[in-house]
Amino acid sequence: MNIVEMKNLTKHYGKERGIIDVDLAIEQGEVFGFIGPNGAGKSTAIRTLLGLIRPSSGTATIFGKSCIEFPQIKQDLGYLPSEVFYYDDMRVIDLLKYSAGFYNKDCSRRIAELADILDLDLKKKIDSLSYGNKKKVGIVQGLLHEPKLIILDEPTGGLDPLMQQKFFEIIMDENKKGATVFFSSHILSEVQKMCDRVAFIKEGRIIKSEKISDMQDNSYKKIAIEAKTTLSDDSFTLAGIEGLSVRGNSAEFIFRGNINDILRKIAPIDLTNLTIEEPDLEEIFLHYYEHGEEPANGPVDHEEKSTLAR
Amino acid sequence: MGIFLRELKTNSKPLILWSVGMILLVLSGMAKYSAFSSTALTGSLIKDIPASIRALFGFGSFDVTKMSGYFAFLFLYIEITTAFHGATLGAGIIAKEERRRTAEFLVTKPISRNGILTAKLCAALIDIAVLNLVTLASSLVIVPLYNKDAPITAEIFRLMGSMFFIQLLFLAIGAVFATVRKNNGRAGAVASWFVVFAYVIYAATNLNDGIRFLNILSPFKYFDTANIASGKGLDPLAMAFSLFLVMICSCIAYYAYGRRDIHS
Amino acid sequence: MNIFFYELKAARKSIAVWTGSLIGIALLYLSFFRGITRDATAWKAVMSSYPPALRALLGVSVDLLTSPSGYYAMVVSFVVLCGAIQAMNSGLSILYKETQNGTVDFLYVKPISRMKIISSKLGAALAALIITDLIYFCAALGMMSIVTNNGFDAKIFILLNVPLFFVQLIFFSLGMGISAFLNRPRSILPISLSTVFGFYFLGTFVATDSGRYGRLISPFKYFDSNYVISHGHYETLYLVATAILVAIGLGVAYFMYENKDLQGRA
Repeated sequence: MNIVEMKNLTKHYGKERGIIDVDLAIEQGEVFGFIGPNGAGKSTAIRTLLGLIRPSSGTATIFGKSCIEFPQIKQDLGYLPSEVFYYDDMRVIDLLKYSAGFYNKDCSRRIAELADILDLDLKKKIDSLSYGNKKKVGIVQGLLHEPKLIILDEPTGGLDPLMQQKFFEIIMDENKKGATVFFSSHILSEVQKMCDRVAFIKEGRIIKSEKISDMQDNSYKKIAIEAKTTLSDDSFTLAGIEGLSVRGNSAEFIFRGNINDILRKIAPIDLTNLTIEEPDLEEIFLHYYEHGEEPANGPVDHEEKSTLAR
Repeated sequence: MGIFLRELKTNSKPLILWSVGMILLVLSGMAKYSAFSSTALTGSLIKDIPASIRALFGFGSFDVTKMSGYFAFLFLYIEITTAFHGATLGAGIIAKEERRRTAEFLVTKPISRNGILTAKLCAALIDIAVLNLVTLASSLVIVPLYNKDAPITAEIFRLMGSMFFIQLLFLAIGAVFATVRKNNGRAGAVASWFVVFAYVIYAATNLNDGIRFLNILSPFKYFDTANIASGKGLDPLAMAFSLFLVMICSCIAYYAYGRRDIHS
Repeated sequence: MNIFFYELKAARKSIAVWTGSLIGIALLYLSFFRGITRDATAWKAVMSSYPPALRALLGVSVDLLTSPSGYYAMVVSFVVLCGAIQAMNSGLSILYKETQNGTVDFLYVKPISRMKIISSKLGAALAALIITDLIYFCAALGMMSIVTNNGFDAKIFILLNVPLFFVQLIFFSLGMGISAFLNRPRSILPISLSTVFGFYFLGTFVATDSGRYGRLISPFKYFDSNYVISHGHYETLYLVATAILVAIGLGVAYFMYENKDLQGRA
């Protein structure tokens, strides 16, 4: 059974497009990223999954059941919304206890643990907290019942880098303990760091859904070398090399193919410096943002080409 | 200028609702008049009722069998309604920025706090003037339809005139509540309670003359409606005092708004 | 159950303020009772010559206003007005505040059906009203005893007080039903004030001489004190009307909220 499943999920707001025919399946133990530009439909898809809004057509289930029909299924669900608001006049600990009261387990130990890791003062009044601290409350609130499915909507907005790091550690810990994580973001670096699989949504539709590792395998590597002697174009005749730029002692190109082939090609050269870079997820996806599909020769945007051609 | 125009536009729908409400109020009040006028009752009989009991019914010293007295009786209800309008408008027009989190947007524009407040209060001023005029106009139109005695046109004008001062005052008080209180989400509610408070004082001092000194707390008492109904003009002292209070409230509001911490 | 207790706890301050207000109103008017009764003798003679329509407007009949029950009936009419505002505020905000606060994403994602959320909140709100009314009742009882030297009919007194809850029920349900249609951030106080006062004025000026069915326009006229004092029970027509209105208001609220799309923050 897929932990999260969306089939042909569609939501229209009157004439406005929400999401269209979204198909998604997340397996147990995965960390799944959901990326897209603003307004693509990420939040709509998540809110439909959670039962906050009703789909126009299609289904969305967690643990095989619809949240709308089986609200109890949310016992094992933890949710951190993108914008965190709470009730006035409550202390942090009051809100957390109120939240814990909905779940059939004793969460007090976990609350203390999480608050400690995140450096959250439980006695403070929520309205006196800064946005980042409120977000911390949201994190604790979403995790205090040790849920098996964690859904995060743009989770790191407002957190300082140290907190972001701690947050990731907590999430990865939960994942190691067996939790499935579904998170939406438009910060590609964090998706790259945390996720096993990614789905990309644009204008309400899923454009692509793929494993991170596959994406990077199928992508190019950027290679730059500096040699002791002058280089010539001939040293780099190999299928899979593109965008070759040779200038004096240095050469840059992108390569797609078996890494061993290119290493054998470079090995004879007496090198002073070698740089091999993984493409940024950013580079891959910016391409999708603009063009919507992966071209045959690897995603090279025009800026890159001009730098390489220098 | 932008703020002023925007406020006028945003408030136009509620203003229309309030205006319709006022017209209905005048209409239904007048519809009731027949119960009073078509009787063998005379003013002298009403004078027989002890003051406290007359006060219970809100008659005061009005002769409700005649249109002039009856309208003065109805006028209290009209005035309470416009007082609520003024108070909640005054409080709301300032508090709503913070309630809707648009305060930061507004306050960081190249316009001084005073400028913002002036624009808003001017728009509010227009609103209360409009409401006053609507009430005035509907009274002038509806009253003659039911009036069997001498026309009371002058009285209506004078009463509405006095009401304008009261509206101004409640507007200013509402503004004070919204600018002075640190957390002004409830400013509208507080302003409303003040209207209620003012009414309660009014009713209480009517019932019990001994606590007359409390009248200063109730703007409804500043103008003597009975005097206006019987033909005397607006009391200059009352007008001056009201304006004086409006000025003080405005100063407080400007000062407080200027120094206010805007929270997100 | 969690929600019920939380909501009730969060309403503590509001309950205190409203209870205080209701008691304050009653206190103020009851304190004048002795003075009024003194003036009443001369007045009674005058009142009897008034036309029926006039008497109806005043809401109480000739003899009654000066009697303890009659006077209290007048007092309670103001208390009911105030209580109606409390109830309408409560009805409007109990569900809507989640949207206003942006706490929809917190509460409605919990493992609990929407129906249960609505019911718990409803229960808490009604409990708050009942607590207010009970405390008020005890205070009013005490005040009446003092002011009239125990010279009042206890059964009638109770009957005069119960409409407070009925009218509150009506405005509460009305508020809850209306709140289902609210989507943008707006201040609820103007809505409750204008609705409650609107019905009050309708009752005062229009309903009184429009006959039995005319009175249906305004909940404030459903429980006529004259009738109660002279007959010792309520009129069935209006009890039914109350029940219907409450059912409609709550029904609309339940239905709309069960199926509504809930946005994060209005």
